[in-house]
Amino acid sequence: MHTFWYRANAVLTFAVTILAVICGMASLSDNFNFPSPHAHVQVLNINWFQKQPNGNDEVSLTLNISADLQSMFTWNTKQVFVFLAAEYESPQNSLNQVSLWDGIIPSKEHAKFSIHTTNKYRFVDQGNNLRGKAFNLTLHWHVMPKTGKMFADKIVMTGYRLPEDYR
Amino acid sequence: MKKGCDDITLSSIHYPSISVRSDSGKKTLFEALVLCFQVEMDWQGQKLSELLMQVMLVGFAISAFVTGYSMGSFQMMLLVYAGGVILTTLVTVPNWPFFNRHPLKWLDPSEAERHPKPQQATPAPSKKKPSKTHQK
Repeated sequence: MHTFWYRANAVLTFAVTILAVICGMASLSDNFNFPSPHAHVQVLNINWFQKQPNGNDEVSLTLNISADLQSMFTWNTKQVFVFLAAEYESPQNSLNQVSLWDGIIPSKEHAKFSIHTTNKYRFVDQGNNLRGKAFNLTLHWHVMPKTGKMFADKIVMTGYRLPEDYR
Repeated sequence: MKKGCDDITLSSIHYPSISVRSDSGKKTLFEALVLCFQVEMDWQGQKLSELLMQVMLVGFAISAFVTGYSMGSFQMMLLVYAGGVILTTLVTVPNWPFFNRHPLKWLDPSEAERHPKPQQATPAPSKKKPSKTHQK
């Protein structure tokens, strides 16, 4: 501490150390937030449902996705990544997950939404197991913080079924 | 006191290695600035500046976290803390006069000559012997 640059160095290193500590505390404070998100997805229409030339089933859906994710946002939240996956069981795989739609929610103001959309990514099966298949629509999300730990969770919505015939 | 520089508080600093004093005995602004940045502060000052630095930084960190959390704004936390760091730097890094209130009182050279160092009883041979054997 006896010269100017020794003191400047000491202030800088101690300040950065404390900055790391308060960022860690900010991350820990997220654990006191217990989010209670709601989501509701309606399958409005099966636009088409066919077997591809290579033998895989493909279906096109029109969806209405409405969700209220505002309770996920804390002071330490940078953004929330959310995606909707169709999940079903087939003889080859005990769990198939096909991402149908995703989005990045930049702020709390945009966290309550209702979207009318066709599936953004193609709903293709590995095989031809989709006819009459019951499936779940699961809304997954990753809460991305400004500093610290990332949280991930999901809401499973059950009771959807694909038609028995191609159309 | 040394010649001519007892008109300001920095006069208490007398390190032989630093020769920023002008011959006329009056400091220019530049010289005063150089003193502020280069001259070492006294022991009590160093202790005080380190304590001040730690207390101020921790204090600002706590208040920054409390403000940021209560306002729900991460940016506000960073702003408060950044302001605190700048203020702490300004207070503790430059060699302010209040860090130099306890100067070391060195003996005047003429005074030191009147009290010579006591001679050691067996000065030369005991020291030279090991060095010679070592050389061989």
